Parts: sequence; structure tokens; C-alpha cells
Amino acid sequence: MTLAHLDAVTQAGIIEGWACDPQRPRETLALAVLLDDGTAVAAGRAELFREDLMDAQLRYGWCAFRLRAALGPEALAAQRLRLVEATTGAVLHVQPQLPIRHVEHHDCETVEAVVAEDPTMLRSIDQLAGCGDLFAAFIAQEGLPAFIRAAYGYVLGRPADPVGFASYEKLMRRGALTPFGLLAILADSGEFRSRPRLLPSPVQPAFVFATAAAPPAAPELTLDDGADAA
Amino acid sequence: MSGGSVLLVSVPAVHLSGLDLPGSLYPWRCLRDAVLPPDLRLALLLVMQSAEAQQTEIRFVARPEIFTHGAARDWLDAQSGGAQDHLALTDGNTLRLIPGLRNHMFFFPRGMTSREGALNRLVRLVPEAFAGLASQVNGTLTFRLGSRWIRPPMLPLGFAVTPVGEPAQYTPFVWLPGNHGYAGVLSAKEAMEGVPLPKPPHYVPLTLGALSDHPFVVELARQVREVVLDPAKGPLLIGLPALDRDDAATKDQVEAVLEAFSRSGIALPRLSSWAVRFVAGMPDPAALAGARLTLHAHVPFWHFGRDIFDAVGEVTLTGSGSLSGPASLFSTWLGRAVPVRRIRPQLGLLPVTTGQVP
Repeated sequence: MTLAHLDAVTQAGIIEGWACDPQRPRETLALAVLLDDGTAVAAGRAELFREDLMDAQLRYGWCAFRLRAALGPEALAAQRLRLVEATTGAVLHVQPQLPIRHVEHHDCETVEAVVAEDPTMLRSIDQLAGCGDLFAAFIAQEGLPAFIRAAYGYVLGRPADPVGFASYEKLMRRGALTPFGLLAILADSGEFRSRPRLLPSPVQPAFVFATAAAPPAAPELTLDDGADAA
Repeated sequence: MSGGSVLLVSVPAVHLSGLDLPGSLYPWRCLRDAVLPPDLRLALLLVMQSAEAQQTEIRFVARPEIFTHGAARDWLDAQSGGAQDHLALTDGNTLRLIPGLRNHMFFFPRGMTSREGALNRLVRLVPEAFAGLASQVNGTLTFRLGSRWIRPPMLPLGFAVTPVGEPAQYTPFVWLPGNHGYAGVLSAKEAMEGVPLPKPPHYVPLTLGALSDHPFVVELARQVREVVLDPAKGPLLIGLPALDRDDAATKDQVEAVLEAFSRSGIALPRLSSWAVRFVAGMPDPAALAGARLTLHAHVPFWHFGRDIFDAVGEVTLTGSGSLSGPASLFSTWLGRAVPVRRIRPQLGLLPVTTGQVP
């Protein structure tokens, strides 16, 4: 079952909320916001990070959305809005009156500010703290050594050195260190701090820990009433 | 510990030194991904899961011994959300209590001989601290204080589903009399993950405490010999014990078990066999379906979830010491009677094998 919520619209006309399908945590949902008459006022994907969603264990925390609306906030607040899944048209949430959220809005004036606003890059390694299941799936599929090598490549941009590899593998095999704990240690290292690099977020194809989703299960055969009667 | 309230939890301060804590009260996420001893991590997971099931809010408190009285205590009372209970996770070296609260103890490194020795020393030094405990989680601590026997009430907590960490590694049994270090290296070299078992195994997880139980080791070494000589009686799965040092690798764990076997006086054939295999880490619960599980009294049974106890065909509690306390706790925890098999020490002289000749 898809869970979703239209939270608010900001003064700048950005519709905020979140949506995810706990049964399909690896997929981002394509969404649209419709007026009562079916006019679409915003569209996009639910793939941004929010800490409260991570705490609630909803899609690793990466299922928020901020959609620029075609109408102003007052016009939106005066109407009933429907959040629908773009591919199926299924209504996920109906908001009779979207609250207006007052936030300070700054335009990005420098390249650094634009990069910092890029939602497809991590602002902090802590944004991956809710991805434990994702890392576990990677380890189950590729093995622990592959995870450690991938972690080194992802955070430090280099192959794992033999000493570091051996010590972290030992710690992780003993259960003394979690997969995210390893990423946090590498991101906290002097090497990373001296040469910080942008790390792709889980919504990026460059996110190395993404594993191929399992193929959908074949539908179960059920007998309808007629067959029962037969 | 009552549900729907706030519970203060403290861990030994030695594990906090490397953490960047926001204050004396800190959230779970500060500990969750830190480097922690595996048994402490499991204990914390157990506490967090149990608290979630009882809708109890957990607040971790650093250095609880600071908050005994005065302004510090007033601050804690104001910040603790009306907590009435404090759970102290102890490694046996210290027990930090908060006066005025109901203090509970969770001794997590069960089976680690040095830690159990430390706890016993602590009980001898400050028995009054233990006498005031409201409960002990998954423990059977009993001691004498003056003319009274003190036994803090048991509080059984367990995992519904066994927390499976990294995939378990399987290594073959290798026996080189007098050269257990090299046998450990050879065994660890052949480590494999996800090795299929031909039939439900007999699984015997070990700890250093279990390995120090001589009659139990003698019995286990006999079983090893039987299975090595007749693989049809296998497979025998021996869970490698956690060692009390941070740099221990699989080869060191294998060596510790082989050393214990060599002290048993049982002559083992000089060969390598996958019919007896060592397992480092928690085996996949599916691999234990229908298995025979033999738990020594010094093995922390709460590391296994109820899914494993439901899946295995037979569970036996064993050991050569007094088993009444562990059996009572284990049966209460499991919710059913558990067969107990007490191993009687063998009297007389131990046989001397050629492997023991210098």
C-alpha cells in the first residue's frame, strides 16, 4: 500500500510532502498534484531526503518531494488538492485545504550554493543512516568484501588498502561495526576531510550500493467462484 | 520495567570515549552505528526492540554516576521525562546505578570468562549495589549477603527474529596435533559462505565459558571424533566462540577451540573434514531447520531469536555445573520446559595421547 501526504505549500509556491510504497522501497514514485477538475498543478518524483522520514523508516528517508506549482500559494490553499501516482492515476492523498508554510527563501547566487542545494548529492553521510536494509541487500548479493571495496571507492574514491580492508572486514564479520558505521568512519577520516567530495545520494544511478530489485513475483493462481462451483 | 513510559539506559563509559555525544542524554542513533563489541550491540538491539514493542521511550544517559544528587540530579529529573527505571548494561567491570530510580542490570558478555570473573569480583566487593536491583535481564546472578540469599528477579527479553549480521563463514575441521595455530590458519583459508548442509545439523555454539568446562569439552571432542571418523553421523556445526580481544580473526577462534580439544585428552584423527565444520557468526536460521541445538549454560541463549528455537527440532541445555538457575531462566524465557543434560565429570586419570607428548 502506498503511503503519502501533502504537507504544505511554501510562500514561493513549492508543494511539499512525501510518498512511498513500503512494499517497493527501491522505487521512487512519480507523482502529480491535481485540482478537483483534474488540472495538474505540479508533477515530479518523491526522492528527496527528510530526517523525520528516515526516523519513521520510510524508504530510507528518501521519499520527500518539493514540487513547483503552477499556481500561487493562496490559490492552492483555497482549493481541494489530490496527490496521485502519475503512472497509475491512483489517488494517494486528498488535502481539502493545503496549509501555507512560511519559510525564508534565498535564491542561489553562487555555484557552491547551487551544488549544496542539489538534492541528488549528499549533504552529510548521516543522510544514509536509514539505508541499513539497502546495504544488507548489497552484502547479501555481492558479499562483504565487495561492500568494503565499494565503500572505499564511494567515500574516498580509491581502492581499499590491504590493512584497512582486513581490519574493517574483521570488525564487520564480528558484528562490531555496521555497514553504515563503516561509511561514517571513512567519511570522518582525515583523508576525506582533507579532500571532501560530493557523494551521490541513493536516488542517483551513481549510487554504488543500489542492487537490482527482485523481479516481481508471479501472480498467484486463484480459483474464482465459478471454478469453485465446477 | 513498565510499558508506555521512559526508560533510561546506560552503557559502560569505556565504549563512549570515541563517540561524539550531544550531551549527557543522547539518542540511540549515536550508538547504533558506532564500533561496539558485538555482544553489546546485540544487547542494545534487544533492549531497543523490546522497548519498541512495549512503547517505551529510551533515553541513553552517559556517566549515570554523576547524577546522584544536587543540581546534576535535578537536571536529570527535569530532562528524563519522568523516567522511573534505569537499565544499566554492564560488562562486569562496573555497575553504575542511579539512586531513587528502579535500577535493572543487563550483564551482556555472558560466556566471556574474564568478564564473568570481573562480575563475580564486583559482587564480592559491592554486594549491596546488586542487592538493590529491581531485576536482571536474562541473568541468573545469585549471591549471599550476610545471612540472606539475594537473587534479583529475572527479566526475560528475547528477539522474535534472530538478528542476522554479516553472512556466516563456514570452515572445515582441521586437526594437526601440537600445531593448532597452523590448523586454524588452514581451516580459515578454506572459509566459505553459504555452504549447504546435507541434512539438519547438530549445532553447538561455543563461548570461552563453555570451552573452560572440561567435562563438556571432553564430551564434545568425543562427538567430533565420531563424526570425523563416520561422516554419516554429521554434520556437526560448532559455533566459534567470541574471543576477548579486538583483533581476533577466524583462525584465532578455531585455534581456541582446537586448543580446548587438545586439553580434553581425546585422541582425534589427524585429518581435515567438512563433516565437522566451524561457523563464525550466526548461521542462517533456515539452515538450522530441524537441527539439534545443544546450548551450554555459559552460552547466551538470547542471541538466538524465537524463530530459531521454533525451527530447530530439539534443544538441550547442558554443562557440568549447576544447571538449575540457567534451566529455570531458559525455560521461563522460552515459555516451555527445556530438556537438561548434566554432564558428570569423569573420574580417574586422563588418557595421554601422542599429541600431548612433547
